[in-house]
Amino acid sequence: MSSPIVLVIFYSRSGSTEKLALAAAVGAVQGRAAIRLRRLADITETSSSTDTLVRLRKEYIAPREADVLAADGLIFATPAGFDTSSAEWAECISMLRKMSAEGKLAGKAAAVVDTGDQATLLSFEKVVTELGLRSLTRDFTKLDGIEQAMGLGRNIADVLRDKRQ
Amino acid sequence: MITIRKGEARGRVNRGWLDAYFTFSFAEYHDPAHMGYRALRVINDDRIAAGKGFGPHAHRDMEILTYVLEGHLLHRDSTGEQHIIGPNEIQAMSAGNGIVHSEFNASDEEPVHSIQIWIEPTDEDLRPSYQQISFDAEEKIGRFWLLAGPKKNNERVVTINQDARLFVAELRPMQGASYPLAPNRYAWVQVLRGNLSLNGSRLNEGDGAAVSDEQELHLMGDAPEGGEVLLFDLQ
Repeated sequence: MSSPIVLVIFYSRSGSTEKLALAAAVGAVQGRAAIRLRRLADITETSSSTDTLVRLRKEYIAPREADVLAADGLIFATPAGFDTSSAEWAECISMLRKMSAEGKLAGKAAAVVDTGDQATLLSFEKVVTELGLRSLTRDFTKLDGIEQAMGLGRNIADVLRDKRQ
Repeated sequence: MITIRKGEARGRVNRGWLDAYFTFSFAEYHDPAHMGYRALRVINDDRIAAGKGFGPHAHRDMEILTYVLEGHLLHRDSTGEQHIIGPNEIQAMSAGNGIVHSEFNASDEEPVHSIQIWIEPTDEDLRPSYQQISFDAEEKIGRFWLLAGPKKNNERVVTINQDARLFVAELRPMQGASYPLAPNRYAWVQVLRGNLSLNGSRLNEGDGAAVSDEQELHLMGDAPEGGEVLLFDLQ
């Protein structure tokens, strides 16, 4: 039986949220899922072009419909201030809404990495519900950020694997 | 018995930024007759264009060794390791229960030529780890220089979680080196560059050879420039 596929979609400029996205991906791999990592493209101007930002732009590509179609589960990670209404997420959320309307998200699950901003987290949980995705966001608040993200990734992989069996 | 795997018979992918030859089945190249040899699962001969590379991707339960022939590779992984590897170094990443890493050509001007090797570990769910060791270029000339093995009995050897040893040798024309193969052990020989002979059989660049039921391997550099070879001693 093939492994479930978890797509981690994140936005990061400084690398902090990338670390959480990587941790979620590692957790999913620990749960024996295959993973894809996709970073949203930069839309709004940033005053500095750090080495990290240059690297992030070089190493990652933006999510496409094919990535979402292939995935059994989605994990979202975003820094504070970049909620679902931000310019960076607009194109991705719009793509997901279109896919949802076409029935292409049926049966898929999703989870949101808590990056420390409740308003941002809630905006994503609301969208997950609107998209008809099965929410697998779990409360791992007793753990630190990296461990939370890893636990979330492992949890979604476990659920998806159990569903396939 | 020595069975030669001709270099030109390997799988190949050319994506523009990546020109790779696969000794064993890998990615879109699948040949049930060439799925690996003993615990050796992958030997990929990669040429990566300047500034390009493999974005973050995951591995699990695999010992991954990287050997660079030309240029430099930048490695980053989810354990926080970030290193540049160049010629006369060996990098070992034990994927264990899960690791995400990226590998990019560290140069925006020069291509990189590297060999990536996957060896199946003896155990699953190990803790991910990273090692990188350099050696003097002279050490591999005219003899088999141990790069990786199951125990860290030498500070200059990377440890892998498998009863396997990896050696490198660079042999000039008419320069020979012998390796005694213990009973019930197997070997794989992979020519990285140049031409050599293995127990009298000619091997060209890119060729591999599966070895079993042999007491000794004798490699000799052939004209015009000799060659460089990897030798795997396998259970």
